[in-house]
This record gives sequence, structure tokens and C-alpha cells, in this order.
Amino acid sequence: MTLTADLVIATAIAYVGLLFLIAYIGDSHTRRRAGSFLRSPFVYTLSISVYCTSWTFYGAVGTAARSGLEFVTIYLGPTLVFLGWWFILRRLVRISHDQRITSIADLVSSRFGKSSRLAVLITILAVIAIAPYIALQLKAITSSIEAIAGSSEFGRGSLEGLDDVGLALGVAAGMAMFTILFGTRNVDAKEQHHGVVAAIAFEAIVKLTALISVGIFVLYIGGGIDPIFANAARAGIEINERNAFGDRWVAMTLLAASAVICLPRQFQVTVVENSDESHLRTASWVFPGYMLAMSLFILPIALYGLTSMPAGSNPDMFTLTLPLAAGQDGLALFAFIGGFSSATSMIILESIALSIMVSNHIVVPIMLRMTANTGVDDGQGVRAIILNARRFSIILILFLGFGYFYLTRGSDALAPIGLISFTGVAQFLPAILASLFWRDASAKAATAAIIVGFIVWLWSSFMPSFSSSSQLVAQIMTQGPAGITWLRPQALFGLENLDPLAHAVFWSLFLNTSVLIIGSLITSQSALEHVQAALFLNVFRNRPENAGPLRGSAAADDLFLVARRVLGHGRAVALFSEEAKQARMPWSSLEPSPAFIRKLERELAGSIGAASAHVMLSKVVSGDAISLEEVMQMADETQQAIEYSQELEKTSNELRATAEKLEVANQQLRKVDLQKDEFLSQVSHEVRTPMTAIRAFSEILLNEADLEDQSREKFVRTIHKESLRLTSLLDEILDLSALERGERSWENRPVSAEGALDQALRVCDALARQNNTKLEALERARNVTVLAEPDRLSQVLINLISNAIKYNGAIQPEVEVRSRIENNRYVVEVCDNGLGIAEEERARIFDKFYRGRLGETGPYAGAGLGLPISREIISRMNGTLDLIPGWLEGACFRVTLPIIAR
Amino acid sequence: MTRRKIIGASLFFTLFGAIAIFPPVIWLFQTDDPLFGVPLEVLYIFGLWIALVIGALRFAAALPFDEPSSVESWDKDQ
Repeated sequence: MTLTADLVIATAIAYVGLLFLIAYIGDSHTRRRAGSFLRSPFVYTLSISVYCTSWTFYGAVGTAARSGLEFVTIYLGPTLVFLGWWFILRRLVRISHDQRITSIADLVSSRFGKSSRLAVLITILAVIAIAPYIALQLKAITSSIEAIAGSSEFGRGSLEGLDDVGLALGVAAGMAMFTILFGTRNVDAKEQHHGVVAAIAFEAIVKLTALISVGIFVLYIGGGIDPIFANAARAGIEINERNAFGDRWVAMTLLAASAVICLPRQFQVTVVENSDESHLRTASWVFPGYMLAMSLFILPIALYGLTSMPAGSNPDMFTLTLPLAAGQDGLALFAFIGGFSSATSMIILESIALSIMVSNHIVVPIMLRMTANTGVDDGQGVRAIILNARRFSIILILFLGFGYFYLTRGSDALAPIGLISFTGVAQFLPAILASLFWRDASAKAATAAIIVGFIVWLWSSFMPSFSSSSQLVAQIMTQGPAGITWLRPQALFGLENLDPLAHAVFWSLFLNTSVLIIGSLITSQSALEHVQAALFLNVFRNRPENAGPLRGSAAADDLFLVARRVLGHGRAVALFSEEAKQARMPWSSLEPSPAFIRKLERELAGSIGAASAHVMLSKVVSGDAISLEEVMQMADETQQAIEYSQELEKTSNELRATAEKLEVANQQLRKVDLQKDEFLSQVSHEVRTPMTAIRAFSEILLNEADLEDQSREKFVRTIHKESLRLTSLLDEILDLSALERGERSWENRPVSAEGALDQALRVCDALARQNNTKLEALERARNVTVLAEPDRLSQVLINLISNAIKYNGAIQPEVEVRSRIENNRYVVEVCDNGLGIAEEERARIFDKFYRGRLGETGPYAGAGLGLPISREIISRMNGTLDLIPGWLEGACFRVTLPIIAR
Repeated sequence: MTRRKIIGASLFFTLFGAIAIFPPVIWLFQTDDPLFGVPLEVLYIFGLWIALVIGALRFAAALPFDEPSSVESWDKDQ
């Protein structure tokens, strides 16, 4: 088999026929709902790989041959975007589903208040920016046919006498025809083209296997990876330039990352054609994997081509010429089909996406303006116009591409052309990111930003590509326009040291973003922008079907006319019948609800774009303008309510915490209050007993005049005794309450603890003798200084010892006292061999007015305040007073105080 | 891990990928000594790429699923 141009062209046409067949089967499967395979995440991912065009297939090898690793940036950028799918792509897909977005221009226009102006602007700029990219594909196909034609003596066949330009024109015309047949057979309600996607997915497999086949072939004849690299190194081929990873590297990665979002065809396959949000999840790793597989063999192919092909051969065509040179015609044909695949898939999708934009954003609005009355009775009217507009746009787009090809045919590298397009569409990125994440971005600012970015792009990136064919451009490049050197396209404002690509990327995106931000800060949004911004930002917040931009009322007949014009009779009838069924009303008396009008607008937007749908419905829906203001207010109020309720939630949490604290404090207060009541009643009780006695005896003295002196004296003595008891009781109460409130002036000073104990023992000695009690001091700590008030310390110790003596009750009463130092604390223990304190009393022994069994009845009945007072005093000295299990059988009290010196 | 932490980890992973590709990190691997006959930076980039794809695979399974959109589905009549 000898490869000739005729054979190759015939193969290409046959291949296109096969694609058409696949698309046809795909469409009819979908229609019969049998196309579940077509809606699998893998078909979706394969269709995304339309990103890998003939630029990858041929151009990446050329780039690798010219500047080493640089080609991987084109794939690393999108890899990063898909790694971070959660943050950008997921939002884009959800928003586009909710808002029935049909293109990238539709997305930006929809966010910025369904602005027709913005949609038109983006459409025109996209068509201009994509022209170089289409040209690249034409060039690649033309070059590949030429390469095969030039490989043998009679290769040219019927191409004899046809030059590059003629061939490219033929390719462009063929492509236009093919795309029209492919992509504009019908206006889909959702702008999804399942058949086309199936064909694109098939092409993705073809180009991948073709490239890998060539790669494996090269590894085989090159003897493996090691020899290929070694031979290249021996031949003096520098795989990486010294400055490979510099400004250009970063700029290209950023450009590629933005291109995979902003290129119209990428937006079409990734966002618009997405039928299930979860497919993105699969694509997030399969697509980077696909690009990795595409890139694996590029470097070996480039290096082997550089070492084995004659000097001066075009490195862009190595993928094709290496098998040709080795006489592998079959493989060469397969490689050609691979390259052809990657070019056709790109051209088909890009021009479909662009034609949708042109028809929805330019042609339909003009048509709407021209037919002011809505009473077009032909249901197919709008649809026919839309389809024709798309066909026309496809032709226009392909011939713009051809025009660019014609003007720049002087330079031969593929990659730089693609990068020009990338830089152009990257100008949409700031507006897209703003629409996803920034509520205050305004339409005016976005429009200005995109225009500014585009002017910089035209000047510093697009125009310089004509320098090889235009004398004037070449002159501007070196001297600046009219000699203004700081306006030289590749050294704007005197910035000369940057790579030209990095230079264009930096200035265009920097100025673009600055204008967007500053502009948004100084301009204000329209009502509709406001609403749409909120919808875009809160796309993942589940909300009740919120008030859309259209409210008000409309006659069902008018609405039906509009719907029929755009959607066609069948779909319009279906829509209205469903609504009538839901409203349980006959067709004729149907009053369209605002919700239905909103639904209708979304449906229309799916066919003709948000801005056009809005304009169309506004014509028949009355009361729209007023309700818009309302809606804006509502949106504002909702936003405020959300913020307010978050605030409220926070405040109420704080309040709850405070309330809990208050509750605790309140409980304590209630307890204290209860204690106070108890205390008062106890005091009253204590005071009442002696008072009763005093009153009784004084009454006897008053009434019984003839009382004996002896009795009289006895009564007076009793009264006196009870008064003393009363006084001492009141003294103790006063003392205790003063102690508790901390009123009494109190001064701790260093005193000898043992001195206080000695004094207490001395005082109690007499009492002990009186009660026949054996008072014994056991071991003693010597020379201990504590911080205390000496009189008070003695008082406590006396109280403890005397209690032990008074309430002993044993036959041979004994009281033992010992003191020691333990863990740097001074410890005094007073123990007796008496009845002790019963288990159930231990807990209450320090309560006020609580008296042990002997304390109530014995000869030394007390007020029950000694121990509470003692404990209070010791605690004022930072010490403790406790009841402990002692070494004798009776009660045992322990005082501990911190030591300050020994 | 909680939902928020997985999302945070995914963001970090993406940013880490970007940092690893860009200078200055990539300069670390720009040497004249080849490994297995292949320049080190080539091995590094493709190794990193493989790691990123594997990481993306893991995150695709781990990242939470969204609630379906509240706007009614459209496919029912197609």
C-alpha cells in the first residue's frame, strides 16, 4: 500500500461518515431512552478530552522538540482545575443546570442581570479569539495531508496544482458542511447533543490509541526510553533549557487552567452537556489521567524525531513522519486519522458552541427587535431562524479561522497560535470567577473589564502574530505606534524582560481584574443583577422555590404563543397541559402562576439564552418592572434575614450560656436564703428559751409580793444567769456573722503556734482538774511560726480542748493533745476518750446551732456556735479544722495551718 | 473526617499540586544528573502527575455528595 493524498482524503471522508453514523445512532438511542451508556460518566469524560486537539497530537511534539518539557503545562493547568472540581466546576455545573445556561456568554450575561450587551460582547470576542485556534486545526490537517503527499513520488494525486491555501480552504469548507450536518439538525431544549457527544467520545479513543501506537512504535525502533534519551543527549539536544521553569512556565499553566473553563467548547462539553452532576466526580480523575496518557509518549517521539529525522524537518509532524520514514504506512494512516480526529472533534464542538452563542445572543435579539409583535403564528418560525443563524455562524467561524490561517501562513509552529486563543478566552475568567464568588461584581464593571482585557490582548498577543505577513505590524513591534516606545506590543510600559506570552498574560489579566474590582466598587448593580448574584452565590443552599425575576401576570394565550414560537408546538402544548392538569383547570381559563412563568422562562432560556428569554417574556408579562423592585427588596431582606438569624442564633447561644450561669447562681442564692431562714429561726429559738425563763421569773417577782427573800434571791440569780447566757449567745452570733461577712478588722501576723497552744493548755488546766479529766500533751512541734491572730488562735484551741473536756462523758475522762509538722503544715490534734460523735452527726457537727447529744442536755449546754466560729476563724488563717478518726475512742479534731518559718 | 475537613483537604491538595508544579519547588529537581537515563525533572513531573491523578481518584470517592438541586428536573419529558 502506498499512501497518497487521494487515499488519505478518501479515508478521512470515510471516517467522517463513520462519525456521522455514530452520532445518528447516539441520537436515536437517546430518543428511545436506550442511551444509558451515552450518559455514563466515562463518555462524559471522553468528550471533555476534546481539550486535546491536533495541537496535542502534533503541536505538543513540536513544542517538546523546540522547548522541552514546556508542553506539559498545557495539561497540568487543566489537571489542577479538575483536581479542584469541587470549588469551581461543581458550582458552574449546578448553576448552569438551575439556570438553563447554554453557553459561556449566557453564564456571564445571566449572572450580570441577563445583560444582552455583555452576552453580545462575549460572543463577538469569543469568535475573534477562537479564530486562531480554528486556524491551528486547519493548518494541522493541511500539513498532515501535505506531509503524506510529499512522502512519495505520486503522492499528490488529485492535489496536483493545489497549494496550502487551497487545501486549507477545501478542508474548511468540508468541515463547515460536516458541522452543519452534525450540529444543527434541531434546536434541543437543553442544548445537549448526545449524538455529537458520542462521536466526540469515539474520537477521543481514536486519537489516544493512535498517539500511543506511534509512541510504542517509536520506543520499539528507538530501543527503549534509555537509549532515546541517551542518543538525544549525545546529539547535543538540550531537553530542558536552563530557564524552562520561569515566567513562561507559570503563564502557560495559568492559561491552560483558565482555558479549560473558558473555551466555549470546553464549557459546552463540561457544563452544558453534563447530564448528571456526579459525572464530574469521575471526570475529576479520569480526565487528568487521560491527559497524562496523551503526554507520556510525547517526549520520546520528539527526541527520537530530532535525532533520527533529517535536519530541517518540521517537528510538529513527527507523529506522522516517523512512521512514514520507517515505511509503516498503515501506522502512518492511523496516526493521520488520530490527528484528523483531534482536529475534527475540536472544530465540530467549538463551532457548535460558538454558533449557539451567535444565534442566541446576537441573531435572536435582533429578530426580537425587528418583530415587535409577538403574533407570529408559525410555530416553527423562531426555530427555523435559530437553525439558519447557527448554520450561518458555523460558516462564518470556519472562514474567520481560514482567514487567520491565510494571514499568518508565514510562521510554521502550531503551539504559539493556540496560546494566542488561550490568552484571548482567559479574559473571561475574572468575570466568571466573580460571578461564582463575588456578590458585588457589577455588569458595568464586568463589561469594562472584558473590553480592557481584550484590547490589551489584541495589542500584545493577537496583533504580533501578523508581524511575519505585515510590514506595518513588524514596525510597530520594534518601534511602537508612531514611535511611542512604551506602547510596543511586547514591552508595554517598558516591561521588556518578560517572555512575550507571560507579558501579554500579565498585562491583560492584571488590567482586566483591576478594572473589574475597582469598577464594581464604584458602580452599583441593577435590580436583576442583584437577584441573579444571590442566585449564583447561594446555588447550593437549598431554598424554597424563590421568587424569580419575572412576576406579574400574563394571559395564557400570549404566553402560549411565545412558547410555541421558541419551543415548537409539541413541547409548548405539553408544558401548558401539564400546568393545566396541576391547576385542575381547563386550558382556556388557565391563569399562569408566577411559578409557571418562571418555569417557562427557564425553558425558553434553555433554547435561546437567558437574556433573550427574559426580553421575550417581558413583552407579554405585565407588571414586571414593579415587581422587580419588589424582588430586589425581597432578596435584600432575605439576605438580611439570613444574616440576622445567624446573628440571633449566636446571641441566643450566648444568652443560653448566661442563663445557665444565672440558674446556678440562683440555686446558690436560694440555698443561702434557706440557710439564712434556718439560722434566723434557730437564733429565735435559742433566744426564746432564756427569755422565757427570764420573763417567767420576773413575772413571779412582780406578782408575788410576799415571796421569801431566799426564793427571791434565787429567782433573781436565775434571771441574771439566763441574761448572761443570752448576752454570750448574742455575742457569739454577732461574732460569727461578723466573721462570715469579713467585717471585723483582721490582721494575721507571724506568731508562735506553740505559744498559743501552751496558753490554751494552761487555761484549760483548771477546767480539766474540775472535771477530773486527765489532760495530757503528747509530742510537740517546737519553734513553729504561723500567720495568725494570736488571741483568735488561742480561742479556737481553748474551744476545742474545753469541748473535749466538757462533753467527754467517760468514766475516766482523758484528753490528749499533740502537735507536729506535716508537709510543711502545722498540725494540732485534740483527742478524747469520750462517747465521740455518732456517725450520723459527723456531717452536721460544724453546722450552726448544732449540738451533740451531751451539748443539749449536759451541764455545759452551749449555743452550738463554738465549732462554726472556730472553723471560720481557722479558715481566715488559711487553715482547716476537721473532725478526724482519732487514736482514742472519742472525738478527735485537727487544726492545720501553713507554716511560714521554723 | 468531617465533611468540612474533607473539603479543606481537597482544597489543600489542589493548591499543593499547584505549588509543586511552579517554581521554586520545581527548581529543586532541575539537575544535570539523569536517573535511569531520564532527566530527573521529567521523572518528577510525571511522577507528580501520577500522584495527583491517584489523589484525585481518592478525593472523588471521599468528597461529600450534594443534595439535588431544588429546581425541578428537566429530563422527564425528553
